[in-house]
Amino acid sequence: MRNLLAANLLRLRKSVLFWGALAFCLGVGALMSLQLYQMNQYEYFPLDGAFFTYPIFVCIIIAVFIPLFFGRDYSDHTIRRKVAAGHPRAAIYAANLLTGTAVSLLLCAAYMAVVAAIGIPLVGPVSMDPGQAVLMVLGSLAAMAACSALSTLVSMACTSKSTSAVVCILGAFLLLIASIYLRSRLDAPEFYELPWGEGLVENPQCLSGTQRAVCEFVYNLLPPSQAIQYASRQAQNLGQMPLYSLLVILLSTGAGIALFRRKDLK
Amino acid sequence: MIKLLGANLLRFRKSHLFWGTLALSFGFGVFMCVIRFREHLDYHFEVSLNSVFFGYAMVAGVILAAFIPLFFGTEYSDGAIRNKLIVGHSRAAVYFANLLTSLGAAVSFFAAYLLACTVVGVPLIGGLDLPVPATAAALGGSLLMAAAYCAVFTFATMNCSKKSVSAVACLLGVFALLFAAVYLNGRLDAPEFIQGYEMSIGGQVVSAKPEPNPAYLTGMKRETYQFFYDLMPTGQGIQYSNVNFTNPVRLMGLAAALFALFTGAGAALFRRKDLK
Repeated sequence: MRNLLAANLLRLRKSVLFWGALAFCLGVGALMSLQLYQMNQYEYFPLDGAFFTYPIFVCIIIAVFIPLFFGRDYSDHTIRRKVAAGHPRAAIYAANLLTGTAVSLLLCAAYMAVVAAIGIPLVGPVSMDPGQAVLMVLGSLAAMAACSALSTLVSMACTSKSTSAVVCILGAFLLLIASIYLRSRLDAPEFYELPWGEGLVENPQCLSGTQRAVCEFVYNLLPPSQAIQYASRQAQNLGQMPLYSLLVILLSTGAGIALFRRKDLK
Repeated sequence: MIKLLGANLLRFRKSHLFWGTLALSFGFGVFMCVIRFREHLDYHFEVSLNSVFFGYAMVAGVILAAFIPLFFGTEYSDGAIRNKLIVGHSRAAVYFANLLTSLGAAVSFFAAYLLACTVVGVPLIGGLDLPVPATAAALGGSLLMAAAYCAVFTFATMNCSKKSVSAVACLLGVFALLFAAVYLNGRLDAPEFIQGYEMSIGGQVVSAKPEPNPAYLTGMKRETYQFFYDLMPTGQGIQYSNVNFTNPVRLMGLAAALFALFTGAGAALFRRKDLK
């Protein structure tokens, strides 16, 4: 597997897609920091708002990068050659998964580094408790690893690079939109106030019981939902969410390897 | 060109992508009607077909951004475009045949959605109670908006040899325009005045005087925001899906202009493209 990883890293070095994604993250980080500095001329906003935004757009970048980068293995028949050279299919899958995960973590780290380098001198450090900030960072990195695992599953299971790209991108956006909807349902107040102080009325849209428990589980499980929670700094189960990410990684990797093992590499 | 259109139609008949997208459009219509019916049952909301009949306009861009590059992008990878030129078809004929075919697909998907709304929606949540001119304007405008989408995506697909790159570019582009349209809609919908805070004096509830909203757009800024909101097919989609448009003639004119611009530019670029 070391040879497979080395081959992937060599491809990354020469990949315009990878360097473009990295440049995009650096650019967005710089832009967010400068925008926050401008807003601070009128009112104080801590660096937190810019620092933790990366999970949402890195989620999309991964959905674009992984199918385009690894999908080429099918079109160039590289996968067939790797199998013919004696590499087990599980090793090929794992090498691609590790490479994709490493790229997603690198993109997050690049963003955070730029925001820290530009934002801290201009606006000051993150105002959050350091322990909580570390948990947020680690949790969001785990969520990005889960996004990579899902994208790798689709890319390795689908021979067509373009189809897997479309599925990953549509999936990422649809899950983001679904997460926003779930959040609005979970945030719906139990009661709402009638105008002119006429009292409180029960809100029929407020979730309760089993329905609420299921929605909360799904909201914490989905990697894009976690991305929204970390980006809005409203993640409440900082200890549990990495476990959900681990569950997604294990399930998707298990399913992906099983599918890839049976796949006809024509 | 008739032969090219015939060939494309034959591809439709055998295409899982086409039939799958058609089924998805129909399924989406059923889903929207059922959701509205559930809202009526669970929350006693007053609902009508008005709120869902043109809902497809919001998602048409996303569906076409996925379909058109995947369907027509295959022609580059299979060498079909080069074969069409070798047998004597002109580049313009190849381009326009694909554009017309994508228009046909867009109309089919729209029709599938409307069929679902009619067959499932009318029995569950009632019929349309919009005035006929508004209905006609929304229908005609939505179709022109779909034509504008087809022109843009055909431009991208026919001028990019790589199916995956054109698919990703079209999808990311349409989502970016959708978020931009939602942002512009939010800015344009900001109220002119903010209601002052309510306070109780001796048990009486009174309202303070409304204050001007600093986020309210005025003058040239408002005109500019409105122009781009009307120009973007995603902005038009939001307006048609909510049946909330003030100037349908302007919307249709802008959609037609987009269609003409991207078709002309796309055909011109395709003429000069090196089909290696």
